[in-house]
Amino acid sequence: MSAKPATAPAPSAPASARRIGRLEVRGLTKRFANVVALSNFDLDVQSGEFISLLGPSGCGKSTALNCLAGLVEPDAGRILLDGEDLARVPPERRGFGVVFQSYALFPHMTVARNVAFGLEMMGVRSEVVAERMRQALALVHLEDLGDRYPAQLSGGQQQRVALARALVIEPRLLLMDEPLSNLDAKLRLEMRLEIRRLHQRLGLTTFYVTHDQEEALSLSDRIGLMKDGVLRQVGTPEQVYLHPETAFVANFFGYRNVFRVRVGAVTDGRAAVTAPGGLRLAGTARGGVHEGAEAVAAVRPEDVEVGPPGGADRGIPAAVEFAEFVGDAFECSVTADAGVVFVVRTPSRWTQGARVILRVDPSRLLVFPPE
Amino acid sequence: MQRAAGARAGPGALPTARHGGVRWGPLVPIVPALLVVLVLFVYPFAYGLALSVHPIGSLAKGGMLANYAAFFGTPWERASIWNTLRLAVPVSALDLAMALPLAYRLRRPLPGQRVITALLVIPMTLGTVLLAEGMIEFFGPAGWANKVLLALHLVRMPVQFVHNYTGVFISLAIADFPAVFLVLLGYASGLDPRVEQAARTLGAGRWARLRRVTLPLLAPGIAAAAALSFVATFSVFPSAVLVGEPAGSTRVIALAAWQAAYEQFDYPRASAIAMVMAAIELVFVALVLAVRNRAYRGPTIGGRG
Repeated sequence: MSAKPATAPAPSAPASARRIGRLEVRGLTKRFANVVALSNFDLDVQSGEFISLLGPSGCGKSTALNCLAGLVEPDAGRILLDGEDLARVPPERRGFGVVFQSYALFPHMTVARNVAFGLEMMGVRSEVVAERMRQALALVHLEDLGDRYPAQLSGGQQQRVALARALVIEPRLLLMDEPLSNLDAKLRLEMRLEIRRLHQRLGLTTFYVTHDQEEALSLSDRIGLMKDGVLRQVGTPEQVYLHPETAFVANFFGYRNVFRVRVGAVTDGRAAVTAPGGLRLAGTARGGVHEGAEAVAAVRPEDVEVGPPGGADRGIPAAVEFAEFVGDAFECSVTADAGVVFVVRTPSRWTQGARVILRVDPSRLLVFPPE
Repeated sequence: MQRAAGARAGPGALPTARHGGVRWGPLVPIVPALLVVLVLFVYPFAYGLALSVHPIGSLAKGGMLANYAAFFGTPWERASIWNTLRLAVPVSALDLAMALPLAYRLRRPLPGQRVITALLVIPMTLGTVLLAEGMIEFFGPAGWANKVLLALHLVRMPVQFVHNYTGVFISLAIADFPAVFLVLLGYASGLDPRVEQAARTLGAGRWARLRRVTLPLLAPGIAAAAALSFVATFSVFPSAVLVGEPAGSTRVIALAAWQAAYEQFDYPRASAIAMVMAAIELVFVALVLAVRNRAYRGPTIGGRG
């Protein structure tokens, strides 16, 4: 939780990057009608750190970002940037850069006017505006498109304009709300690298909201996982990927096989569990798992081994329901005789209806207390 | 493409094929509408125009433009243009000024929004005559408006609200408002709230957002509403008679044409006046569109092109 930011500002970073941007969020709470969108949200973000908020839609991550941007007024809580509480400061006086999911470019202004807008609002002298606008456009490789209107640009180019417009004001904090979700897969990858490159170059404290775990893993210094308005786990990509603390986090990071179990004996962190249909499995107990209690077991598709029946050691007898070719492997839906359905990932193609034996390494089957 | 064209090219051989690079096929469905426009608008217009250049009676010897010369040469007739303009322009301006903030506020769902919108649109359903009757009662010497003003000691004598310029002004402003409001509401609800939020995060305060973002994006709607409102108010007729002073300050141009046609039975002269009226409306609409075309044209949504 107290992981150091992996990325320090690059030595070649411009002067703006050396401005501090240490964010402390305390007890941020927001209720819409009867729904708690954000509940007691606490987060510390180091200067220059790239932090992602990850979660399914409706988990409160966008509300958190809108509260930080000042576009939604929190019911309670403090937003401290370098020690100054901004929770009641209107967005126009926060000086944060915001990149919206829909880009929200000014459709009636050229690319150049869009980028210059923030500087003009700050009252920057017009020669300086022109210069900084050019630099910002160069930063996102749009030097030649300054005279175009947003409607004349592709989605990726619009995204770059939105980035340049947010970066040109040299914000202490950069907020990005699902910025890649409107792009196609190829462009998304390209813009992801672009965002990564800009962050390394400028070292801006960045708060990034996404529902895409791959984006979060690849971009972030740290990831915060949210569900139902509550921050469930914060850690480095490696921490949350390899050591999920709850079944929800595990499920989000590829533990696609999740089932309710009853816990048998727990010894040395090893738990014997019984899944529905009487299927017995051995797994690794996470904190809070007790003998005789209800629990949730989770395992990744690639950690379930599929073999032909009749091996020496005992496994889970099962039948293949269907197999999908996913490029580098096959994903099969396999039904254990006890009734539980596993999604497994195997290098070999299994025909439909084939009898197989499943084996699960106990160190790869995680047992969590129920949520 | 080929198949579709072939399938439609039946015995009648509709002009779906390319003629000099233009495909006429897609135009076929608008033929009925085109006919209606031709029969109901273009023909009467051409007929009126032709009629207006064939003066009759004492003007018959004055040449083709005698009717126009008579209209512009007679101060009493000429004044009807001014009488109409001084109603149409301020009424349109006032309705725009009132409708714009309301439409902007009501562009997003609000509690009671439907009720408010319905109330604002009701005057449209009343009709000019009913409105005029109500006004004569309400604004009359013994009506509620004067009773309140007298009771509050704001005036010592009943104020004359009707049967003058003020009466027509009020009546027009009420009747014209809903259309202006509805046009603007349509445009305002098309605004992407994120665009204004983006302006806020870039440091734009209320005034800067209005001037640099909201108004420019609403400019097409303002132009459309202004043109619509001007044309509607410039052709005012019933309220100029019912709550105005038709023999004096509110002798509007439509009334002048009507009198020529149905009091003096001089259709050609009436047609000439109607042509003048149409020309003024056309000039105004062209002016509004010219100004509007200098502003931004395009989508009001920022992004996802």
